[in-house]
Amino acid sequence: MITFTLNGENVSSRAEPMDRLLDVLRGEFGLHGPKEGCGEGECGACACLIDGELHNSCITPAGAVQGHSVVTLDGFRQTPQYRLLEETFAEAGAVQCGFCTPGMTMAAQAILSKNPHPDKDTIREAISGNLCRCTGYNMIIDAISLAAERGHGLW
Amino acid sequence: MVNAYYPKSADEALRIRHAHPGAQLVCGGTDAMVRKVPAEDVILLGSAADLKDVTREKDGRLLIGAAATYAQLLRNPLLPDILHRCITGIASPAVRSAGTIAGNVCNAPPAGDTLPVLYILDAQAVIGRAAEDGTCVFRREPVPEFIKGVRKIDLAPDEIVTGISLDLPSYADMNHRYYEKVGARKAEAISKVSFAACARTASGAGEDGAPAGTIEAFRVSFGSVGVSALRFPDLEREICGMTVREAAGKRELLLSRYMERIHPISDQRSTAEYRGQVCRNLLGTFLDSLADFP
Ligand SMILES: Cc1cc2nc3c(=O)[nH]c(=O)nc-3n(C[C@H](O)[C@H](O)[C@H](O)COP(=O)(O)OP(=O)(O)OC[C@H]3O[C@@H](n4cnc5c(N)ncnc54)[C@H](O)[C@@H]3O)c2cc1C
Ligand code: FES
Ligand code: FES
Repeated sequence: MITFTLNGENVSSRAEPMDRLLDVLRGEFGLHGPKEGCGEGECGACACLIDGELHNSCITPAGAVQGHSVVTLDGFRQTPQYRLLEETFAEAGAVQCGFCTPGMTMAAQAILSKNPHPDKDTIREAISGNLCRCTGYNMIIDAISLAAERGHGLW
Repeated sequence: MVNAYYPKSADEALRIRHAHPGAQLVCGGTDAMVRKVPAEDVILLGSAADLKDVTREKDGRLLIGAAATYAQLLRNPLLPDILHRCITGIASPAVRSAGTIAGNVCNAPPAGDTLPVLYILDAQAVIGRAAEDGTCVFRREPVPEFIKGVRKIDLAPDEIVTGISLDLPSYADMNHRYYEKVGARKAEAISKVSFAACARTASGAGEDGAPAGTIEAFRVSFGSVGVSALRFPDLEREICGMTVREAAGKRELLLSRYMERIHPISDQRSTAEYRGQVCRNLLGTFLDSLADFP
C-alpha cells in the first residue's frame, strides 16, 4: 500500500511502486485535472505539485509519493489563488483548447508560491516545461503576471 | 507483484540491496520511468534523508548525496557556479524537481549534461555496500572510470552509489570558467554538444616565478560527442606552463590536437560535422578568453 496525502486528504493506493502516478490519479482516484500529453515528461500536461514543487506525474513512480503531499488541479480549484488565476487566464486570453491549462495553472502556482512577483523571464522559465500548441505563450505569461499584480498577499 | 522498499537512511538502503541484490534503484525516476525497466524489487532512495545531504568533506571536497534533486541543489549556495549553470540548462523545472546527478551518472547516457562538468571537477562516485554482518563499506571511483560505456557502470549487484564528490578546493582558484550547452531549443533539449572548461592563469608572477599570464591549470571536457564525456589530461598537461600568449600563437595547432581525438557521431539530433565544428569553436572561444583578465 502506498499512503500519501492527496488534495489534503489521507489516501492509500494499491498501485505498484513503478506505476505512473498519472494513472493512479486519473484511474484510481478519478482526478482528471492531470492530462496525458506526451507520457514522457516533456509537455507538462500531467503536472501536479508534490510537497509544493512541480512534478510531471507521468514520469513519477507512484511509490515516490509515499508519505508525501500531492495536489492536483482538482484540489487546487478550491483555493482563492486558483480563482484569481482562473480570472486572469480568461482575461488575458490564455486558454484556447485548454489541454495545457491544468498543467500551466500548476506551474503558475509553483512559481508564485516561491516568488510572488516574478518578472516575465522568470515566468517564461517557470513554464518552460509546459507546452502549449495554441496560444503562443505570451498570453499565458501575461495572465500569470496579472495574477501576481493583483494577488496582494495571496502568495 | 513488485516489492517496494523505502529506506530511511543510506545504511538501510545498502542492507536492503544486500538482501535483494540487483533490486532496481530509483532516485528521481526521470530516466527509469521513461525506460520502464521491469523489476521485482525497487528501492526508492528518495526516502533516505541522509542521501539528500550536501556536505563539505574533511578535505574540502563537496559531497552531494545521491538523492539530492536538481531543484534542491540550485538552492544550495555551496554548489559550484559551473554546475549551477549546467543544471539550469537541464530539462525543465518539473523534471529538475525529481532528477538527480547520481541518476544522470548511473544512467550513463552519452548526452548526460552533468558529465563534462563532473569531469572537470574531478568528481568521484562514492559507492557503498553492506557486508554480511550489516556494516557498510564505501569505495570511491573517479566518474570517468566508473562509467564503462553507454548505460554501463562499474557497479556490483549489491552496491549503490550513495553520493558524488567534487574537488572544490582545486576549482576554487580557477579564474576562467566556462559552460555551454548547444541544443535545439533552450528548455528540454537533449544536447547536441556540451562543453565545460576551467583554467587558472597567473596574474602577477606565477608559481615558481613563471611569467605573468602563465597557464597554471587547464581542464576542458566535451559532452555528447562520445560514449561518455571526453577529457584529455595529456593535452592539458602540454598546455599548462605555456603563457596565454604562447597558447594563442599555437591556437590552430592546439585545436587540431583536440579535434584529432574527438569523433562525434551523426544521429537524429545533429551531424558529426556540425558537432565537430561546434567543439572546435567552443574550445577556440575558451582559449581566446584566457587573454581576458582575470
Ligand atoms: C523530459 C526530460 C528531459 C530531460 N532532459 C535532460 C537534459 O536536458 N539533460 C540530461 O542530462 N538529462 C535529461 N533528462 C534525463 C534525466 O532527467 C537525467 O538523466 C536525470 O539526471 C536522471 O536522474 P534521476 O534521479 O531521475 O534518475 P533515475 O531515473 O532515478 O535513475 C537513472 C538510472 O540510474 C540508476 N540509479 C539511480 N540512482 C542510483 C544510485 N544511487 N546508485 C546506482 N544506480 C542508480 C537507476 O537504476 C536508473 O537505471 C531528461 C529526462 C526527461 C524525462
Ligand atoms: S504527459 Fe507528462 S509531461 Fe507530457
Ligand atoms: S491552449 Fe491549447 S495547448 Fe494550450
